[in-house]
Amino acid sequence: MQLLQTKPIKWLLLVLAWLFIGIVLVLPVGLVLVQAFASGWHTYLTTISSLVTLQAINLTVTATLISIVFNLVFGVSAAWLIAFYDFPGKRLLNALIDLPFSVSPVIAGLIFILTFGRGGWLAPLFSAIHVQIVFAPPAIFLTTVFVTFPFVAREVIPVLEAKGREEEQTAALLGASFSQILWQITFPAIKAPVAGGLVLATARALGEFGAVAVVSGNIQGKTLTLSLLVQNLYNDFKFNEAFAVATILLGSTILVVLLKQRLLKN
Amino acid sequence: MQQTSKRLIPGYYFSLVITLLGVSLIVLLPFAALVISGWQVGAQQFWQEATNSRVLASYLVSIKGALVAAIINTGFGLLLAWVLTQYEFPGKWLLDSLLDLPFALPTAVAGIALAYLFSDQGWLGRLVVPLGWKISYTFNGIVIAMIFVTLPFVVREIQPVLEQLDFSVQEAAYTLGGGTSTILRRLVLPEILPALVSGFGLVFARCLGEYGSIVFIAGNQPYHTEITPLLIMFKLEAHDYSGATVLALVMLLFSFTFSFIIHSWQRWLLQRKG
Repeated sequence: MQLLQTKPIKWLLLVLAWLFIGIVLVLPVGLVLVQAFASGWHTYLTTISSLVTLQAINLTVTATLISIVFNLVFGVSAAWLIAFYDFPGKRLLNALIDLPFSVSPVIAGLIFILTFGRGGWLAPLFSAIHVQIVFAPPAIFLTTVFVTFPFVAREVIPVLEAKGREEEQTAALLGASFSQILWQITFPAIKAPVAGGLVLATARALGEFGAVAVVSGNIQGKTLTLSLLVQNLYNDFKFNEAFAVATILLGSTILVVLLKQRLLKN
Repeated sequence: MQQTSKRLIPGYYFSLVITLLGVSLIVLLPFAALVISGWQVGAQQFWQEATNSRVLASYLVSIKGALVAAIINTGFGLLLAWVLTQYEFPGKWLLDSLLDLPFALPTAVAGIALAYLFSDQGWLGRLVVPLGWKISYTFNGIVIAMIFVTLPFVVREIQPVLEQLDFSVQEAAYTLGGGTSTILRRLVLPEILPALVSGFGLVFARCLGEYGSIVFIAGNQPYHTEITPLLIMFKLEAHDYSGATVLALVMLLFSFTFSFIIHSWQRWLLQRKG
């Protein structure tokens, strides 16, 4: 390959690439770390171990776990259905599964306000049984599930379609049961995309901000996720505290990225 | 054969029920609420809400920002993909891994970091003050945030194409005396153009909807630095649900039309390539 392989051009392009990544990626991430510890270790530790932070961690982790379980069950079911059977409306179903990806987070929050909030369709039903959805944890769980909705399905469907249905059909003809086929034939083939999809869903669920901001109502100790806590601290000019809480999210993000690369290698 | 084997594998109704339940509860029901809520607004009020001057200004800010960010990221995305696929250099894996960060980094974290970094006292904002430039709390800040969150899109679209590209044709052209720029334009560009177009489309669409990373850095001044998603947020906080619904429907309509055009363009490019 001689094209653009002369030394000066190669170096010029490399310097440009690193400069760009340095300015828009490395510096912001470095800044989070530096500012988090700007008032010293003591402030940092007090901030990240305060009750508000722990409550925010609790809510964020709960929302993430719910999204993971939903993604696993729904994603594998949808992929099974779409890859193994022919039925009318398959393209429509595919499009509906992808829909949450093409929607602004703010709109994702809005549609749940319109469904469950004051004057929403299902509001009378839930107020009759005294369950509050909007401005309460259930809405945070619902929007988090919504924004992570397609992840596992999107990763598994192409893999399962490429694999084909022959093995499962043969097994069924030979009298294998549903669970035998699922665990012994299908699951080993889709382990990697399932894990990959779950990792992506985890990252998104941990860090979702816009959609959750719309439905949360910002009630301290009750509906603050980590991202919302970061926002509140920042808007109160508690910059170092905001960056301290941000390091929790940054740390989990880096773990997720490393996990994804690990999975891709295997 | 297709007919008889149609539902040979057990679990059809089981997977059908779970899938339909999930899609209905999480996607269909809330979207139906949006459409019905929009319907109830009435045509005349809908038009007024969708076209008042503050709303129009917000469309312009969002579209302009998304366009600038998409152009910049398409350029740098091409550069990064080229560097990562064509050169060997120390730290290559690091560059490649760093590119995954914006996918995973929470938008609020990116938002406060960028706002702080590019403010007049920030590490980078300070440097451009003598030039009379301002980045945070201006339109420039919006573009920076958009560039950050969509950084990997174009790279990850082009990378696999460049990796698979067989450069023997290009090299033959080179030894036959073709200039580098001619070869790039005539032989390399057509190969990567479909991926470039779809990357551009992904960036543009994501930028239009982006909220979290932008609100901290934008300054959020009506008519100047107010993006449409933020205006929706304001309307919701003021309990103006019908106004928020109208803007949401306009945004959805616009982004569906846009992705339809991008898809058609990409399909045409792929067909022409053969």
